[in-house]
Amino acid sequence: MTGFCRAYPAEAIQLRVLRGELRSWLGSISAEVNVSQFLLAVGEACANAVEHAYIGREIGMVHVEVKPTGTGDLVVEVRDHGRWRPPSNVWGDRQRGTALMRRLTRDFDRQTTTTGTTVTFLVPGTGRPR
Amino acid sequence: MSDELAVVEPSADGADGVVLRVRGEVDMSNADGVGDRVAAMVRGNSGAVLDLSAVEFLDSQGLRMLYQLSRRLGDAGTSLTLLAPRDTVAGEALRLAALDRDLDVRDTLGA
Repeated sequence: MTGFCRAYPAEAIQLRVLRGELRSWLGSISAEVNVSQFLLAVGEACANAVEHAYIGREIGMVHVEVKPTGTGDLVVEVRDHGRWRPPSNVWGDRQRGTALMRRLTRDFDRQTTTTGTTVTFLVPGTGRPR
Repeated sequence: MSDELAVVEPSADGADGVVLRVRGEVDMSNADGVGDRVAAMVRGNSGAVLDLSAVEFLDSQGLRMLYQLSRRLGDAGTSLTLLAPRDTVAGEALRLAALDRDLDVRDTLGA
């Protein structure tokens, strides 16, 4: 099955574009996942990049890759080339965003190096007994 | 910002106090704008209901907005009730984030 592999400028306004394209793609492969949970998890990963990755620098790109596993799960990778900034606001939006991602996914991982941040996780399929 | 990602409108069900409905998607690009619109529309009322049943996307910035809106309205004397059944997108997100413990989140308006 064909994967999803696209890049977006790291801007808030792009998140709706991403969701629209992900919805179309999910439909095209007849994916059996909880669509709203999938979109929320991927959206939070990209929102992190939008908020933090390119602060004080030229806006860079966020790369989104989704691959079906063949057993109905979706493996997601969201990558930026910015610098990870720890959340600074009192309410802790980003902590909440990350907590949501962890709750919605499996095998959540975030790797940050001097050249960028890569978030990976698995969204379980709903088409088979769990 | 002005966009059509989300619409805030008076609900036809409005009987007691103000009932507003949000349709569309709420993310980091429009969350604060949606919150400002709601705040302006419920000003001066002792109670307000925000019907989120028709929301198709709600992220952590939307959740933050709802939390802050509730606080801000409460300080101004308006208690905010969120109508977000658990099988809806918003209802699911609010409960995943455990915000149903801090905010008045309801499955129905009855009782």
